Amino acid sequence: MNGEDIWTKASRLLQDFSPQSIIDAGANQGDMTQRMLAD
Amino acid sequence: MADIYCFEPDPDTFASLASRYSAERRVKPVNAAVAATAGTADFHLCTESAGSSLYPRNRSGRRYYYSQFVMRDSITVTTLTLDRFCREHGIEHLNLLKLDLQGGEHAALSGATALLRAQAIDVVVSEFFIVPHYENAPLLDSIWSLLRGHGYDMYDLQIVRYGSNGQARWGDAIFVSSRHRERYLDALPPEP
Repeated sequence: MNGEDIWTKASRLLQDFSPQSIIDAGANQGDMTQRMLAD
Repeated sequence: MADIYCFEPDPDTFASLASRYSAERRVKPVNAAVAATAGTADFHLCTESAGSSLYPRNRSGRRYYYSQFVMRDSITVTTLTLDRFCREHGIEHLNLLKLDLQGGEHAALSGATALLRAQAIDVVVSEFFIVPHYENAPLLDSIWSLLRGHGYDMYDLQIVRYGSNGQARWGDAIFVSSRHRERYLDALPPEP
């Protein structure tokens, strides 16, 4: 998954809702996980 | 801050993942594949780990994947469903479900029927394929149809890779539950 733009948009959808639980299915070595932590 | 449950079935890749986040308490690595049913399954290891899948490479039609990205081995891995995992871990609501399963996205969603029916997942970000890269793996239309059947709308779609013949190969899509749509998207001002 190359989620640069798509991830930015997904993050915006959730930015006002203080996410509590996220599932990263197919995490591989955790690159997208890092984005999730950063955002 | 959110707890992030990370699923990775390949033991070697999982070891790297777990080591990378060993000091991060919010990240909870799980060495299993998310699937339609719980149990075990063959997992096909690709020369590039990001290409590994519960599905083998497709055996017919044009080859849209790079020739060096072939399956080098297969192993048996543990599979679980999101419905069962969330029930067993007391997770009643997911803000985000990200699926990057090399053709296994539809199967993973099939194992999350109770969560989807309850609109317990706000946003789904899923990889999809336009043309087959894995044998019998459902394509975008199947993923979209399944989610739409549970009241999820596609919010955006991005093609990530095209074939040399110009055909869209694969990409990522965002789906939003009708509940989240109502409280967030529909609350924003309409078009001018």
